[in-house]
Amino acid sequence: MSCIIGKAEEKKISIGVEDAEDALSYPLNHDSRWLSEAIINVLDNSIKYSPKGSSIIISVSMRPGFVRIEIADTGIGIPREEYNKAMTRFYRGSRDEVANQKGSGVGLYLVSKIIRMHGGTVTIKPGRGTSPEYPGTVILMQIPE
Amino acid sequence: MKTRSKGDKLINRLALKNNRKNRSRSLLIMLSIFLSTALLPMITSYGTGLIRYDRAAADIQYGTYYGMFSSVTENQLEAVKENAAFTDIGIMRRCGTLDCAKPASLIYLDSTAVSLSSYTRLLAEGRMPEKGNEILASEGMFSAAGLKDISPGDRVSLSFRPDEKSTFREAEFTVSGIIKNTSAEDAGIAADGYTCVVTEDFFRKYCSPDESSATVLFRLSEDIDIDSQTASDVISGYANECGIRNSQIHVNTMYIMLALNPGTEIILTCALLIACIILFSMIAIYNIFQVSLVQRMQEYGRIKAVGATAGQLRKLITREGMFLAVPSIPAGSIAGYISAYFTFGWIVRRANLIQDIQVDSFTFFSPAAVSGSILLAALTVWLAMAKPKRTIANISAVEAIDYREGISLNRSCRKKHRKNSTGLRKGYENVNEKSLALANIASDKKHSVMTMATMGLTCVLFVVMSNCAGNIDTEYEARKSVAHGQFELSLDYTFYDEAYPENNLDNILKDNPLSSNLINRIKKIEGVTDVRYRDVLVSRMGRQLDSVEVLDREDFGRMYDEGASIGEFTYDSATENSQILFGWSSFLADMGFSPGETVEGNLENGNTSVDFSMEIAGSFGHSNGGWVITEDTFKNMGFTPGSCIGTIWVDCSEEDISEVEKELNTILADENHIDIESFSDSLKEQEFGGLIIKYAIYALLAVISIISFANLANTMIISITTRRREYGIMQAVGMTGKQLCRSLSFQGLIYTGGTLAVSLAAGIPLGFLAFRWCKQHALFGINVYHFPLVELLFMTAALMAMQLSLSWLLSRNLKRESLVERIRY
Amino acid sequence: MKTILRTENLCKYYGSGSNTVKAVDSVSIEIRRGEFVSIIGKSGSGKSTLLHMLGGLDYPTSGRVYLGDMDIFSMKEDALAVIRRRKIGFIFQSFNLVSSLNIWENVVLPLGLDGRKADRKWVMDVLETLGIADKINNLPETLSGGQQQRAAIARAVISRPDVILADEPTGNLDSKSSDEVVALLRLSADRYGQTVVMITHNEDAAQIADRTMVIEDGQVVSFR
Repeated sequence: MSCIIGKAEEKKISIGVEDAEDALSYPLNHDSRWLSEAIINVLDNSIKYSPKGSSIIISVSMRPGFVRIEIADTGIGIPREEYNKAMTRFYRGSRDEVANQKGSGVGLYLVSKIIRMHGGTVTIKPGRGTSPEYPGTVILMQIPE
Repeated sequence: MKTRSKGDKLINRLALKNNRKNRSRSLLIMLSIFLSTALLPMITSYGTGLIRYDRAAADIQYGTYYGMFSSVTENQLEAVKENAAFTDIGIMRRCGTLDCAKPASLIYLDSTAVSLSSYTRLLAEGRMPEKGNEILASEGMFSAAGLKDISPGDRVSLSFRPDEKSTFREAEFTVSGIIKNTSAEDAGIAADGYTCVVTEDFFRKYCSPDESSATVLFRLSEDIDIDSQTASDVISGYANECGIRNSQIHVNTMYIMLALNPGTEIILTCALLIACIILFSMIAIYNIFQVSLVQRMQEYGRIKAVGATAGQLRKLITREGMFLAVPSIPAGSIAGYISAYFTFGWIVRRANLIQDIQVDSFTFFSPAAVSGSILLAALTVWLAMAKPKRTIANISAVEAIDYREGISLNRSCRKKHRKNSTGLRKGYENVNEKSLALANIASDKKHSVMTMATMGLTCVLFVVMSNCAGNIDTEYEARKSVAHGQFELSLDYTFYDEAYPENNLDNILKDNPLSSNLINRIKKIEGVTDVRYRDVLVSRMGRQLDSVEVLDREDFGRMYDEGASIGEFTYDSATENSQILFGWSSFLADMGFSPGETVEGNLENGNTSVDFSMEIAGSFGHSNGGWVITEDTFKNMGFTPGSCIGTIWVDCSEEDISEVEKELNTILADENHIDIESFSDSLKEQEFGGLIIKYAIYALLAVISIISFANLANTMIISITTRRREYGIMQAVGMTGKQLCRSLSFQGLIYTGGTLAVSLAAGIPLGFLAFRWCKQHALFGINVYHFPLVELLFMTAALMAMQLSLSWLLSRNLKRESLVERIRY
Repeated sequence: MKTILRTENLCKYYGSGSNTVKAVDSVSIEIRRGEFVSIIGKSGSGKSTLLHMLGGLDYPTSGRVYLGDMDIFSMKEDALAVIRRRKIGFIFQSFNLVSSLNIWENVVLPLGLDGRKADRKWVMDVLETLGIADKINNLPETLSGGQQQRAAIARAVISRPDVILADEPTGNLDSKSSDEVVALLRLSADRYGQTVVMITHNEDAAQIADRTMVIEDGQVVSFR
């Protein structure tokens, strides 16, 4: 965790959690280590591809039968056509910015595998960024109770 | 201008297209409008027809006088003439009797009386007698006097006497005219007696005003406020002023009711009945329009989404309704009117046969009735479209497309109007097509209950009326005239004939033509199977003479069952206590007797006279004689059965009736004091009467059944139409066609069951009570209660057949539409 | 893996002559047991028509559909209905439930129509998985759109069908409910081992599938 915070600070990216108090009280039946693993992987991605000074927002909510975790960044985003491919192994996208970054392309794949193993789903959604260069990405994780 | 008319044309075309696109729906609506509209003119035509018929008949049958005073003395007559309340005073006087085979009385009427009693309408030929020895009589009377082929102008010789004290004498008469035969006489049924009209000259010559009291017919002044309910009081008020006692008054209620005010109570009841039936038809039309409301709302929603204004939509809805109504309503009205005309015409023809009037000069057509019904139907259609018009104007296009029945105008309303207020349902653990049917009905509770209630109530009406119609016993009614067998021979007698005392009963009995000898002769007639008799005694109480019938156990019981009797008594109790019964309950008090009172006198059978002192046990409704004792009492007093026969009944098989009748007439040709009456004639008369009542009742029942069928069909159609998509989903989930049909049938079955339960639970006791009421009032033909099993079975079968065929039809309709079409959103 | 659903040159044409509309044009696909397949395409591309034919709700103009080894269109309508309630589960976009029955009754309806008694434990298990176990006595109108769809899923799952066909199950829902419904479908399919074919226009939803079929003008253009 501290690793991530470090990386974030480097780029002056702020990470916020919505409804922080309620978020901490949510019960999680599962071994939370894997969940942290997944979240860290997502955050890592987000930090990598977000510009300096942007923010990443984590929202956690309780839905009937699911815990819903959304991580929204305002990074370079993922093209719609590539949503499906994005979670396959070794996928790194076709854009230059990605090519310039260090990475093996297994980040999202791992996330998806972990969550799937626990009966949940991972979905990539369009980001909420305002500028066309940085449309952002939203990663949605739904984990059954 | 141009754009507006273009828009209008577009709306018209759209309306037509919409109707044509949903052909079956349009046809259904048009058919229902047609049927319901047909009902209205039928009911109203019948109503006006009956009123007009009665009015036409009233003048003929009932005369135009308000009332009649009998036995009016000269002083009273003067008083009446001077009283300004009485206008049009007509005087009738009795002028004696003629000597002929049947009772024939002579009367004289002054010209006012002639017009008030509408006497001239009875003329077949000639005119009223005006002067001298002119006489007016019927063919039947002439042949009873032994004369045939009489025409106006003929001179005849008849034997008459002006009163009972005088003797008969011959006189010559000139026939001024012939009275029409009654239709019964035309059908071969001889009359029981005759009335002949003579002139004022005749009256003055042979009778005196003091000795012969007058009957006065009168009308009241137009300024007097009177209707059929107040008539009695109003008239007796004025009569008493003239010194006339109430017992002399006879009110011509029928005329007053029909010609003047029928009285608010009667108007109200009729109006209420008509209003109910009209309301039923209007509800049917309204409901039918609600069918497919959901579909139509969706269509309107789409049109609204495309940009139509609320005004244009309202026009569209109106036009759609109009295009459906405009052909159906007039067609229905005309059809209803025509069928009413023909059926009513048939009934009138039948009625003319029984009653002695020929009512052909009245018009059945009532422009008010037909146009009124067209207006009502149009009004209903317009009302039925008000709701969709209002709704479409107030909700958005999207809400319209999403329309489901019961959705109110805004969301907060929606929560309030939720069908099940808690949104919870107990439910079953396992569901099948039957529980589906039950759930459908439960969710629509208000609608379902209303349907079952209204159908149940109409069936109740059906049950009650079947109770009455089905229980009309014409044979029973006919038996009141001829108690046993096929022929009744009875003594024809008086009591106070001074000039010809041999006509008095006490003398007749001394040498009774109804003797054992006669009985033997009758028994020898070929074909005669049985002969019965009943004795009659003469009672002498002081100077009062009367007849006393001797009843055996069977006849005693039967007479008691006829109803309208006073007091509790049985054959055995009357015998044990040696009691006597009065014969006419309505006259018991008038005659000054009361139950428990003891009467004394002696009884004679023509040979012996026995003193008696008996307690009055009560009274029969009506009997043949003035008093009644039991056969056992008769024997206990020492009389021999068969010593004073008053009535003989002759029985034979149906094929032998005419032969036996001929033989009887031959045997009795020389006998003066014997009347003969035929059961088959009596039965014919009663059957005509019974038939009309039965047909009228069954016609009404048919109308009621049609309405209730429309109601059931409508409910089921609505229930299914609103669920079309659901049924589609269910079929997608795996419901087979058979299961669908079974579910619908089950639903219909529940409706039928509920309806039956209501109608039987309420209808049978009500029907029985109605029967009892009729019996107590000794109404036509009501005798023994027979549970109307046949009618009820028929009703049950009809109900089940209706709902089964409906379910089958509807499920086929559902299946025909492709599943996908229905599920499509 | 075994093929659970297979079509052979499936065609559905409307109209005739020059007005012929080829809703489904000679489609031959195979779906394997346990797969989660999503079908995407624009409006009017024929995806609904295809799905309806897969489930035997609509008759093709030509071609065949095999469910396991059975040619479903060789059967009579009532027999087909029986097959549907035992082997196919349907979920529609809206109005899935019977309004006069409560949730429990709606869910056990396929069992009841088949004459089978509901196994209480099993039904409660499904309902709990879908998060509506506390609503069993409620009437559908008291439930939100998302909850109604959950009930629809429960009903589709209850008779352990071979395949679940879902026609735009999230079409009427807000995005959060949408997400959940898809997640639930995935969860149920995984937990109860069923095959799912889902039509959606929502690209996000398609991510959950194992395979995605793209349909254009009645033909399957790609399969990824």
